[in-house]
Amino acid sequence: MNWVGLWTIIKRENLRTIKVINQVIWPPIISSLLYILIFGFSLGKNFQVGDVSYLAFLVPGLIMMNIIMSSYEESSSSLFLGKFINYIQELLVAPLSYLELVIGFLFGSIIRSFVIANLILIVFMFFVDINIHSIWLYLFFMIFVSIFFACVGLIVALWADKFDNLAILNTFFITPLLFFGGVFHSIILLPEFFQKLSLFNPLFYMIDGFRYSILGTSDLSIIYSIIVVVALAVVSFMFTAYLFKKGYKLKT
Amino acid sequence: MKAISIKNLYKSYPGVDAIKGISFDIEEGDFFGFLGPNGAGKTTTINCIIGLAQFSQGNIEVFGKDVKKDYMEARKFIGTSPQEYNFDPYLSIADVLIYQAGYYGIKKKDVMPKVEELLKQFKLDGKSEVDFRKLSGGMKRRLTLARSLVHDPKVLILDEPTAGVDVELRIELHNYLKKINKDGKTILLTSHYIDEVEKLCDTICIINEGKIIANEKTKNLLDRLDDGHTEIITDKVSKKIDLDCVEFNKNKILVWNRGKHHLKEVFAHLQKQNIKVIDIKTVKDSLQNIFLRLTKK
Repeated sequence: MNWVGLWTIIKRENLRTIKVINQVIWPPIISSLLYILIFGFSLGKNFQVGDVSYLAFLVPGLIMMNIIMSSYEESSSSLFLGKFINYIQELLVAPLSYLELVIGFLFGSIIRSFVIANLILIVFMFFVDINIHSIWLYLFFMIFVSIFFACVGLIVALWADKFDNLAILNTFFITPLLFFGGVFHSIILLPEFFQKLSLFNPLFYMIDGFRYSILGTSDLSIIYSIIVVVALAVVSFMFTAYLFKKGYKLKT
Repeated sequence: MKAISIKNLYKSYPGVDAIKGISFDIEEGDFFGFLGPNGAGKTTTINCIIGLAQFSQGNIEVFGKDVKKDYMEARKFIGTSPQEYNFDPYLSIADVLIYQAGYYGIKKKDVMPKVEELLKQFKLDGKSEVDFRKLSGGMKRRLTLARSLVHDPKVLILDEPTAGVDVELRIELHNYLKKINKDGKTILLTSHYIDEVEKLCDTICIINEGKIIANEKTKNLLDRLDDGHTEIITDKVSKKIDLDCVEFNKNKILVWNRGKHHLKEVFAHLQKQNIKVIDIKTVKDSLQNIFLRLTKK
């Protein structure tokens, strides 16, 4: 195991995040704040979801939305840019295993998501009274969802031939699934058909489970969310590792 | 000890057989010139060695380590200077070297003396915190070379290391490469400047259309294929004598440089017949001409 090499990749990914801080760290915090101010304070001030205020209900959904977005964007843009201007070759010719490469990129995504999620949480704490129900579940969902979306980002970056390709998944899949996955609403409020349809949306389990970790309340049992998130993270990790091992679109 | 050993290497792309079963060895300490026209298979072969291309058949070893099975070990021996600049855009000049060493398992504190030495050696010490995009073409080329050396590899693979650099820098780089080769580094060099290869390399390997068409010591290759000759014009037609690489054509005698050079015997032969020499002309050949003759279709 090349520990120094792995640590260097992680350091490099973090350095990249710092260098583009105005592009990747501040925008999600500001946009989350705007959501809270507009949806929480104005539209939802007299609205309860179950036993919690709408404002508190929004917090986990918005944080999870940013975990998903940032982990996908970090891994996909970092790897694709590496392919695009060829600096990925520095890593491919070095004595680094395919697993070290994948883990290095994943850590970059997890750390970025972790920083963004917790900064948003800190900002929200000024507006909403939040007591995290389970810190372990909070960390569990943050890490495993980041792993899954970082892997999805890597897979898309491997497949992509142009920057435009990276936006396809974000625009046509992630964003709609996020909005239908319960960021802004509880599925209990939906008609029965749409409630059942929501159960096929993997992002619903991520948001619902994360909401439980913060508020202690969820639409489904937490066990379902844990199973879905672990299964997705494991399968996506194995598939990503397989593609790196094969050198899919990395090696000729 | 063989620094690089390639056996029966095949590499295909969809619809194209890029490498067609090539084999060659590079001895430790050799300065090995790898020549070929564009698209001949040079970069593909290099990519197979360094791990950027996957080959369908054959075997490559670097200091006895298989580049597929023991790729982690094999890669530690190699430093690569690619044809195209491929620096990480988020790193400063010093960080390019520090991070590169990191990927090879060397900690920052351990590599700093080497980084400082290389920055100084390649006259980049005043630029260590600068973004690489602000460097001139020559500086970028020097940085590429410095990066390939930072982990102190035993084999250096240089793909067009002097492309786009001015004459002064080229001479400096030549001197530096000769020095590190003398100090023990094995160097594989590809270049379109044939004079550069002729000047630097002990061994020359020529690849064309995915096949090796020559692979021998530079001197042997030049001796064997040198078309340079001395042209002697005489006042009378001389009798012929049976010597290798000497051609009699009326009052013109051609004495070829390749093989044993028989000029002395020819002059003695002319003197014996009391034939006067009216004119002597030497026609030089070069590796460039040999290369063109060998690779022309």
